[in-house]
Amino acid sequence: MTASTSSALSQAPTRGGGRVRILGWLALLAVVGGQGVAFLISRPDRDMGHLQKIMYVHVPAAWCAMVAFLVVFVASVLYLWRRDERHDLLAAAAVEAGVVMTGLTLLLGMIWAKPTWGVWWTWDPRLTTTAILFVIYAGYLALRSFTDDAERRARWSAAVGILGFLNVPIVYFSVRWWRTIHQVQSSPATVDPAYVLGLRLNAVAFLVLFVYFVARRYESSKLERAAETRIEAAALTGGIHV
Amino acid sequence: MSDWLYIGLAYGVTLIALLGYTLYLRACARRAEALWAEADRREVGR
Repeated sequence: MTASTSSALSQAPTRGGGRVRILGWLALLAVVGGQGVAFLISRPDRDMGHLQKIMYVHVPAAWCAMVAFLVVFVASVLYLWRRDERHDLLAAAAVEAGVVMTGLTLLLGMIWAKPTWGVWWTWDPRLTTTAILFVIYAGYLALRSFTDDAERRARWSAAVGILGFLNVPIVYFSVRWWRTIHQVQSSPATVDPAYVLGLRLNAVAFLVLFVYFVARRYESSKLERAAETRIEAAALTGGIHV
Repeated sequence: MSDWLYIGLAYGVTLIALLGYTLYLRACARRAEALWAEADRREVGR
């Protein structure tokens, strides 16, 4: 661990538990409210019928995954630039939330695909690039367990966090660059106006949920690292009592 | 399967994923608190 990193984490971290807990309740209210409103106001689609409602979870989850990996990219660049372990912990927290959201996007896409395309899975460019995205960031999490050296772990993770992000624009534009059965990016500009409010509400709700996930994971990781630093310091000064 | 079964499956999967991850986050927070308490205990014992 570098000197700047250890000094940043050796003091007692500020406990933001109260604010994070409020954010959690806010996220719950936003998701339940957003889904409720979307269900109430959206009429069945002409082609997909009620299956259209899956869009209110599938699309916000996909957007959140992309936001998550953008956060990872920025935090990874900041880590390599400033060597502050807090940026590494933020990147790792965002990867976890991003992997959950990407996994959810894939599963919900499969559940939607079966009744509409007739198959659970097909090697379509959008689906394949999204699956690759999931594997890259799941690999990022696996990589973190390969070493106990915090500095090396952070450096390796930052490299994957930066290189892995190259796949994000490929996923986003895959529906325009290649011939695909997946529809173009769902956004207020491309969906029926009747569905825009529900989509916007749930995009905001999922974003609040994502911020809660990252904040909660970041707080606990920071506390854990600070505790580990204290235990290491105690061991070096002969304070170990096993 | 009818549309509603697929919708139920989608929302069920979403609930399990989000609730499961929330519980995992709670476990991580508890582990961190326990480690912090352990550091306190070792410093007192020095």
